[in-house]
Formats: sequence, C-alpha cells, structure tokens
Amino acid sequence: MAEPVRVVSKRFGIPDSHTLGVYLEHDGYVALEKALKSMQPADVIEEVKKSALRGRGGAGFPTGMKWSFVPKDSPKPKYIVCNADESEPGTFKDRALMENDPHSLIEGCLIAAYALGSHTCYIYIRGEYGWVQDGMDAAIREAYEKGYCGKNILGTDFSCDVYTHPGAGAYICGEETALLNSLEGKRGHPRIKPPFPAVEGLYGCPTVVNNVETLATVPWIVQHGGDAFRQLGTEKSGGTRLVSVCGHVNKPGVYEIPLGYPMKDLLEKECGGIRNGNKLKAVIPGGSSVPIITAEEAYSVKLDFESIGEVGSMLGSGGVIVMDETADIFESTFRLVHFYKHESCGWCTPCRDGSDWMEQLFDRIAIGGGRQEDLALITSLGKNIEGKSHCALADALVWPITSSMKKFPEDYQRAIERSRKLLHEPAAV
Amino acid sequence: MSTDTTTQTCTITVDGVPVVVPAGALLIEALKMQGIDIPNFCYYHNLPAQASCRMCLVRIEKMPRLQPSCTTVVRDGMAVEINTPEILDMRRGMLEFMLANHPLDCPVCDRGGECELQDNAFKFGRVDARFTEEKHPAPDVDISPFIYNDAQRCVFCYRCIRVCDIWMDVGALAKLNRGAHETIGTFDGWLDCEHCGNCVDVCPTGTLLHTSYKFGPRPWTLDETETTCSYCADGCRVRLGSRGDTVHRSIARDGTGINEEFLCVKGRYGFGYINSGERVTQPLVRKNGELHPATWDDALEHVAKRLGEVSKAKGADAVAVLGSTRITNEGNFAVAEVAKAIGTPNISYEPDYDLSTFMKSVGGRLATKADVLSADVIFVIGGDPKEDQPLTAHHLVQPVFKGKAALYVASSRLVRIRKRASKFVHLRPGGEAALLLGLAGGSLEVAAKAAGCAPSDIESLRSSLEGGRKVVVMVGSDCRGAALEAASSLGTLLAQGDREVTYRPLVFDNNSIGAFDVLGQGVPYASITGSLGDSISALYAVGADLMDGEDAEAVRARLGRLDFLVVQDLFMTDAALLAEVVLPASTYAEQDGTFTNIAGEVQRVHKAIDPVGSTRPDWLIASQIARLLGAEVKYRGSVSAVYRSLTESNPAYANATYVRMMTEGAVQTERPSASPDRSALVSALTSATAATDTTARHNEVPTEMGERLFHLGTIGKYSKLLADAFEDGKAKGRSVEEEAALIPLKSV
Ligand SMILES: Cc1cc2nc3c(=O)[nH]c(=O)nc-3n(C[C@H](O)[C@H](O)[C@H](O)COP(=O)(O)O)c2cc1C
Ligand code: SF4
Ligand code: SF4
Ligand code: SF4
Ligand code: SF4
Ligand code: FES
Repeated sequence: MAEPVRVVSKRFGIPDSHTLGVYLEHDGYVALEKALKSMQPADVIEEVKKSALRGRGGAGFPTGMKWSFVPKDSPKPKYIVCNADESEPGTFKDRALMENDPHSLIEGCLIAAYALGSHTCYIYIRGEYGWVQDGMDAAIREAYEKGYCGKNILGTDFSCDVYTHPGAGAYICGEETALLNSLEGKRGHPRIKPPFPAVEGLYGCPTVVNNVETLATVPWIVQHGGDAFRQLGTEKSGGTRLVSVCGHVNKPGVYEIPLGYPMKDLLEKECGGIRNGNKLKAVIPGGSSVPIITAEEAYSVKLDFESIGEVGSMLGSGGVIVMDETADIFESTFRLVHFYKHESCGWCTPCRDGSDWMEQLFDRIAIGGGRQEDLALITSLGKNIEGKSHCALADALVWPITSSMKKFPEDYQRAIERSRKLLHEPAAV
Repeated sequence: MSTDTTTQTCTITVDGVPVVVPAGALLIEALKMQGIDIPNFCYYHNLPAQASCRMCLVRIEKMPRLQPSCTTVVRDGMAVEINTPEILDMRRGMLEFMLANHPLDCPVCDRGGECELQDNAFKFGRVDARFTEEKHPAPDVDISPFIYNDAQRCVFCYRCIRVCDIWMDVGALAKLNRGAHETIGTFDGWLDCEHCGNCVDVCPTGTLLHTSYKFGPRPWTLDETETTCSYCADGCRVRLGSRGDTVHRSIARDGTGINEEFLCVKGRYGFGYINSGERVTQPLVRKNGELHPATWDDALEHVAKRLGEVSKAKGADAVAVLGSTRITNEGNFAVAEVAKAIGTPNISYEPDYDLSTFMKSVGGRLATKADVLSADVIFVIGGDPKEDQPLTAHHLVQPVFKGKAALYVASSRLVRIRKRASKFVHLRPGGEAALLLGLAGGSLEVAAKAAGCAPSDIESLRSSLEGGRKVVVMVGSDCRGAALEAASSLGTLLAQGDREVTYRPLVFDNNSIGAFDVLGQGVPYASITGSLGDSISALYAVGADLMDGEDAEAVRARLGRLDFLVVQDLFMTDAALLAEVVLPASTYAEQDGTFTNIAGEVQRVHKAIDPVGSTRPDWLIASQIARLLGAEVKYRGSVSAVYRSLTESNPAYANATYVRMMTEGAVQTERPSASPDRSALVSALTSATAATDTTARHNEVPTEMGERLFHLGTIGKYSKLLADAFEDGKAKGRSVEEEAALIPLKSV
C-alpha cells in the first residue's frame, strides 16, 4: 500500500509547526482566503457535504448535514463551539493536533463561522490541558496580529473572534449540551434534546458544536474539494482520520489513516506489532465508550464506520486501546466501570444509581465475596440502564461490560472463582 | 411546563386503544386528562421539564429508545406503549435504582403515607431486594429553623431547586457533589432565603421536611381542612392538618386554590398562634379594678347593659364600634349590626391602605390571577409585592420568566421586585404623582424634575405601557392622594388604544378589601381614635390593634378616659389590659366564614378545629350583643345566614354565594368600575407635582430580603416557631450583596 495521504497531520513533525510562519509556508490560511474571496457560505457547506466528513468527536454525525440544520434566517447570533474537551480514556489525538498544528483548528473554526454566518468561536479545552490552551492562545494572538482573526479578516468584510475556554474537569462536559451549559457558567448537565444545539445552543442561539479534528479537517476540504477528500476513504466514510493507539503495542501514538484501513495494518505496520511478541487478546477500537472486540475480529476488521459496525463496535473517538494476552478483561472493564461511575454527572437515575451499584458489584468480585449470580445481576442491571438514560454516558458504561461479558466470558468466570477463593481462603490466592 | 390547552385535538393510540388528546400537549399531561397516570418524579405541572428521573419512559413507535413522556409532545397518529412487560420492567428497574441507596426507613419518615416514592414502589416496585452493597450514609441535618434535610432519601428530581429558582426567584438550593455522592443542599449548609417551605412541599420523598412537623402525627391520622390563609391579602388556600383540637401543619400540597401549591413563610409556618398558650380563652370582666373570669352570659349582658347606659346618657354617637381587616366578613357584618342596634354612625376600622380613594377612581376590574398570568405588560408603582404580597410576586414573575410579559417598576424605594423589571424608574420620595403626570402626557421636563428621573425614563415607560394589550397595574401604598387616584385609573391617562387594563391595589391584611366592603369608610378611623375620651365615651373594639402605632401612649391616655371599653380579641393586647370586659374570640381556624382577597375574590374559611377554650367566633359574639341591645337579628347561630344577609345588603357580593365558592373556590365580587374624569385627574396631578418636594433625596438603601416579609404582626408574634426563628436571628434572608451577586435567571 502506498504512503497514505496526510490531511490533518501533514504538518506534524515539521519544526515549529505550531507557529504562524511555518503554517503559512505549508498551505496555511489558503483555504480561508479561498472561502472568503471566492466562495459563498452555501458553497462551503456544499463542499463539506460532498466530502462525507463525519464528526470525529464520537458520534460520527455527518458534518455537512449538521451545518445545514442551522437556521439561516434566525435573527439571533450564531456560535461555533469547538469541542476540545477530549476526556475519553484512550483518546489523545486532539491534543496532538492542537500542540502541533493549532492554526489549522483556528482556520477550520473561521471557515465554519463564515459558512454559518457566525462571528464568534469558542474553543472549549479540557481543563487538564493547560499547556495546550496556552499554545492555542499564543496561536490565536498571532492570528489576530496578522489579520487572520478579528475585524475584516484578510481585508474582507467578514469579522470573527476566537476564544478559548478551560473546562473544569468533568468528562460529561465533553457531551455537547453539557459543554454548552458549562460554557455558560452553569453546572455541566446535558440538556434535553430536542431542541438540538443547531437550533438552540449557546445562550439559546443557533450553535454548531464540532470536534477539534472535524474542524481542523475543513481547511483541506475547502482547499482540495469535498470529492478529493471523500475519495481518500470509502464511499460512506470519507477521507482520513486520526487514531490514537495506546496499550500493548510497540509504538503507541497518533496516526492518520484513510478510512477503511485494516486494523491489522495499523497494529502491525504503524504500531510495530504487539509488545514483547505477545499475542493480541482484545481491542477497544474507538475510545473507552465503545464495545470491545476480540483479536480475531480486530485482525479482520477495517477502520470505517460500516465495517466496525459489523463486529458490533464503533469508531467513536478514534482511541484504539490494545490489550495483549496478559490482560484480564474483567479487571480492565472494572477500571472503566470505575471511570464511568466517577464521571456520572448524577442527573438521571439509571446512570447515577446504576453506575454506583455496578461499581460496587465489580469491586466486591475483585476483592472477594463475588457470587455466581452476580454475573446475571450485572447483565440485568446493564439492561435496566442501557437506553434509558438522559445522555449517552450511561450507554458507554454498559457497552464495555456487556460486550466484554459476551466476548470474554472466561475472564469473568475466572474472576468469580478467584473471588470465592479470596473470601474463603485468602492465603491461597 | 404545562402546555396551553388548545381547542385542536389529535388522536394517538395508547397500547392500541385510540385516544383523542389536545394537539401540542405533553404526552404525560395528555394522558392525565384521560385519567391515565404515568408514574413520575421530576415532572411537575408548572415547572420546566427535567427528564431526569426516567420514571415516565414509554415506548413510542419508530423511536429506537424509550422516550420520557414528560418531554414528548403528542403527534397525530403516535402509537404509545405504556403497559407492556418492557415498560413494567423498566419501572421496576428505575425504582430499584432509586431505592438502592435509600435508607428504607419509612416507618420513621414524616412523609410516610403521602410519599410518591413509597406509593410508586408499592405500585410498580420489586418485592425482593437485590442490592446488597454498601449505602452512602448521610445523616439528617437542619438547614434552617424550618427545614431539615434527610439527604439519603432523595431521588434527585430537582423539584426543590426549580421551585426555589422559578417560583420563588430565590435560588437558595443547589446540588452538591456529583453522581452517586450528590446531595441537595446549600453551599454553606444553611438557608438564608425567604423560608417559604415550598421546596419541602413539592418534594416527592421524605428528603426535605418541615421541622415543625418532625415526628408529627402520621398524615393519615390528621383531619384536613381547606381554608384561607389569615395573613396577607393574597388569600392563599391552605390545608390545615389537625388532630383533636390542635393544628399540626398548614400545607397546600393538593394545589386546589389560586395559589396552587404555593405558600409563603407566614402562611406555612405561622399557624402556631392558633394553639398558643397565650390565647384568651374565657370572658373576663373587671371587678374591683381586676379582670376576673366570667360566664359568657354574664359578660355579654354586662356589655349590652353598659353600652346601653352610655348611649342613653350621652347619646348613641358617644358609642364607637371598630371592626377589623383581620376578621371574617361575617364577623365585620355582625359588628356593624351592633352599631346599628345602638344607632351610632361611629363605626370604622383601622385601614392598611386608602381603599376609599382607590375604589372611587379604579378604572377597571380588579386583576385576578388569570389576568396577571396572561398579561403582556405589568406595571408596579409604589409597592413591593416581593416583600408584601408573596403570592402576587410569585404570579407576576411567571409570565416574565417565560418571556410573555414585560415588568416595569417605579418606586422611590429600591424594591426587590425591580430585579425582574425590564425597566426600573427610581423616583424621589413622593415622586409618584409627577411620574404619573408625565405618563399622562404632561410636560416631560416638569414631570421628570419632580419625579427625580430622566425625561427619557418617563417617555420610554409610557411607550412600553401603551404598547401593552393586557396591562395589569399594581398600585402600592406609596401612592397617595392624586397619585393613588391616577394610578388606579392609569388606563384613562395613557393614549387611547385597544388594551385591557386591570388593577390590583397592593393591600396588606388578609381581609382588607372585605373590611372596606362591609364596614365602609364612613367615619375615618383617625377621627374615632382622636375622639376617644372626648366625644366618644364607650368603645367596642374587635380585633383592633389600638396601641400598635407611635401614638400608643396618647391612645392609652384616651382609653383611660372612656366610660366603657370592651375589647374582643385573640390575645391580651395592650388595649385588652385596660378593658372593662374582654371577650375571647376564635381564630379563623375555629370558625366558618369568608375573606375577600386582593383581587376582590371571596373565599371560604372553614372550621378546622373546635373553638379553643370557651372562645367564640366574632360573628357570634357580635350578633349576641346586637340581640341583647334589642336588634332584631334574623340569624341564629348560623354563619351562612349572616353571609346571606351580607349578600342581600351589598350588591358586589350578590352573586358570590357559598355554593359557588364550594365549586369555584374564589368568586370575584362584581363592582362597578368608576369612570374617572381625565382632566380632573390631570389637574390634580399637576398640583401634586407642583407641590412635590424636589429637594427630597433618593433613597439609595436597597430593600433587604425579609425586611417586610418577615415582619410578623400580632398573630405572627404569637406563633412561636416563627417568632423564635426570626427573633434569635437563626432565620434570615439573603443579604443584599449576596443577592446582587447572583447570576440572574434567564427566561425558562
Ligand atoms: C459522555 C460524552 C462525552 C463526550 N466527550 C467528547 C469529547 O471529549 N470530545 C468531543 O469532541 N466529543 C465528545 N462527545 C461527543 C459530543 O457530544 C459531540 O457529539 C461532538 O462534540 C460533536 O462533534 P463532531 O460532530 O465534530 O464529532 C462526547 C459525548 C458524550 C455522550
Ligand atoms: S446518563 Fe449519566 S452522565 Fe448522562 S445525564 Fe444521566 S447521569 Fe448524567
Ligand atoms: S424555603 Fe427557602 S430554599 Fe426552600 S423554596 Fe423557599 S426560599 Fe427556596
Ligand atoms: S430533595 Fe426532594 S424535591 Fe429535592 S431533588 Fe430530592 S427528592 Fe426531589
Ligand atoms: S402569600 Fe399571603 S395568603 Fe399566601 S400564604 Fe403568604 S401570607 Fe398567606
Ligand atoms: S417524569 Fe419524565 S423523566 Fe422524570
């Protein structure tokens, strides 16, 4: 296979790629100029639609379609909000993007703002990413100084401001409506949908919320055309995307792959294979919230929205968590259960009380006192939580559990047996 | 939030059965109208949707996930499943989650028996308990002198928080911590708020509870009586819970009155005076300088004899009779019969508002709750409902929050209600008349100078008011004389237009309007008190706080010069201590009758407990005196007959019968609106403006929360819980600074 085209990571690795000067040397702000000077806002949306770009934040919603939901004739101000809250375990691609190429995100925000008639962009950055925010702020300052942000951008009559805002440390604030509440200074609870943000978002005004990578991809699409982007991937999953690979591989890191790329190649070529020559056991292919798949499935699956769906999982946020034969899937799932329990915002009953109960069950099995019936209870609680909550976080708690129980039942059985021993003959374990 | 019911309907199917429902309704409400109850916790009919408890989920055809019926709007042809195994399982599961961390201590919970969690668990819950893990204990704590919080029982429906934010516009409650560790509470553990207790009553569980009812009788052992609050003129419907002859609580949980479930701190926690140990419980007659217990027969005969003697010796008009803004209409009516029997014109009461001027000039109907809720412009001048008329304040902010009405406030005080105003005009003291002159089209410069505001303030206010189609004008007691006349007929002063203007006089006492209607304002109160001991030699005073003013000592001296003083009251007031006869009256809780509220609506007072001690209702005592004085009293021992006589003699009350009140609750009296003369009003305003003291400086001290709301009055002072809490400073309102620092609530 030929060296794949790099879209969002093409400036990664170039010295000082985060500076405006280097950015300009490598196609920087070319797309913005093209959009402002030779395209109508509707043309921009059309190109994005053609590109088949789907959101990179997790849900994979077609970006062009999302943009077209914004009411054109609304007299209210419109907002572009960039979701840079990146808190999903196993996901660290947005950070790499903002560190290496902050201007591509700024340019993407500005093009989106132009396309949607907005004059204000907020980049909501995960609170723990303090240095990333500093970097973004520096890049934004540079852009203002050189007339890429602010009033009359590039001498046109388009004006737009870009701000960053730090998150306050809650995973739920990555959920787009909780993010909007947080941005408004309220507690980060997901809102009732509908109305969707495109119609009633920030301060009740039409708002587009997009992931960092989604927005950073837009300049390339505008520069090279939507068709060119789509052709890089598959028919329904256009283009390329970033994946962040972590866990038991030799070369963990952030890689750009065309959609439809085989997972096997990703693990073996890009990541240099499984550590210590071990056998692969399982992969969580799209951040901690998606169902786990077996080694066999991982070796046969392609990384596009459709193929991954066929093995019962999702591309999610592009966080690939690799586990070799030494991993205990009960234990690894317990870690995730703990995470989701800790991050449950508490708004709705099944997630708030269900996640706590679930964690206590896992905990009891882990420390001794687990019972065979507990496995049925876990399944039953999962059923009472899944699909019944206010937002998708609760599903993200249940999917790793149900998928791992289905695909790795022996790990759970072993956990129960170990737990019984722990209770009755701790010394033997 | 309840959706407006429209006349259009649509058809949905519920478990296969077609049902016709109002188009655009919320599913949960549409089904309720059909008598189908969907279990719920976070839904509340007049609060914005929450969708957090997930108890109301239903299956809707073609939707991948179960949907909350509290946020789903019905569509024609929608197929809904509410009773399938899937839904029943879901409910079982949801209740199991809610009870997982619940202490399961229903036997010692004050809410037991009227708890929505308990009820739903009985109906839909599991029999077995699968939760064997550890609970997160949270001990119960007092969070105010009135409220305690048993945090572990919470189901996180956030009704309490929303009620405090939206009904009360106070925002004192918050959710603390996150996830399974969250609790409802306050940031510093103590509530500085309006202390209304509404957060407690809307709580579907035993989490927030009234300290006044802690370990009180089980609710099902209480006798519950619906009656009308005895504190302010808003006239909330309260439900008194009593056992034997003790009142244990005052709530509005069934929401049948004009206040629905709303009560304020006084209406809710101020019932203690009813069973106060300091009540006068038997008639007292002075012998050898000392008051001694007497039988009713002796006391009443003594009163009749002495009144007769004075009247005979010095003439009928040497006798004066005082009724009250506190007692029932029937009470005042019977008191007036006493004056008639004697033949004296000297009958009056202490007014809390110049209703004679208001009623003489009022240019339209008195505004009802419906008028306030459907208004597009509300104008409050010279008053602060937030402190003085809590229910009015609650009602008027609702359309403002929803963005349906704009509020305008003009006052010489930095009133609390200004916080929600689109425009607040800060007047100089006495600047009301000048402002009104400007609104009436007088010279803006002249008006603005005297009013102490900018000409543009008046101009923009005028165009805002003139832009309204349904305008409610609330006239506070700072408006006097010409300002009062003009404010109460503001509609005539504005440019002509297609608009309906209704008026609300911001009166204070629970039966101010009733007392005005029944006793009239023939002889001004001051001229009676000013003649005591001079031209007036005998006084029959009912529920009259004679010595509450600054001139208490002068009044004491005058009372001392009377030949005969009979005081009829609940407590040994300062005047009672001087009386020759003290007649012990029953409170509103011990009698039947009516009060007339701020909207001129008559509402029933129902007897909850037998009269305390040997007290008697005012109407009964007064009519017995009238009979002894030789009047031909038609009614014998029947309060409804007293009321019938009242309706016969007062045309405004003719249609407000007990029977109608039984079905309609509040029935508005019908009074002719005055047809004020515009040019006369303008010229009165012009001279009042000219007389305004333009050197008077603006009052820059903001009104504190509770400054008047927590001002208790006589009955409040004898309500121990209230009095103790406010006296020792344990119950406070939020400080002006803290309130100013709050993020204003956006429209909901
Ligand atoms: C619990 C939860 C956490 C989420 N966290 C993130 C996040 O950290 N970053 C992100 O881009 N999207 C996150 N999302 C997805 C967003 O809700 C939203 O779909 C996304 O920002 C839309 O952008 P896109 O269309 O460009 O993907 C999260 C969703 C959920 C339910
Ligand atoms: S599912 Fe969890 S995170 Fe989402 S609203 Fe409910 S409690 Fe909050
Ligand atoms: S009692 Fe206090 S906290 Fe409760 S609703 Fe009233 S004002 Fe709010
Ligand atoms: S305290 Fe009561 S009203 Fe408030 S959230 Fe808990 S259960 Fe609901
Ligand atoms: S608002 Fe007035 S009528 Fe209502 S409870 Fe309070 S004092 Fe009573
Ligand atoms: S009542 Fe609908 S979710 Fe709570």
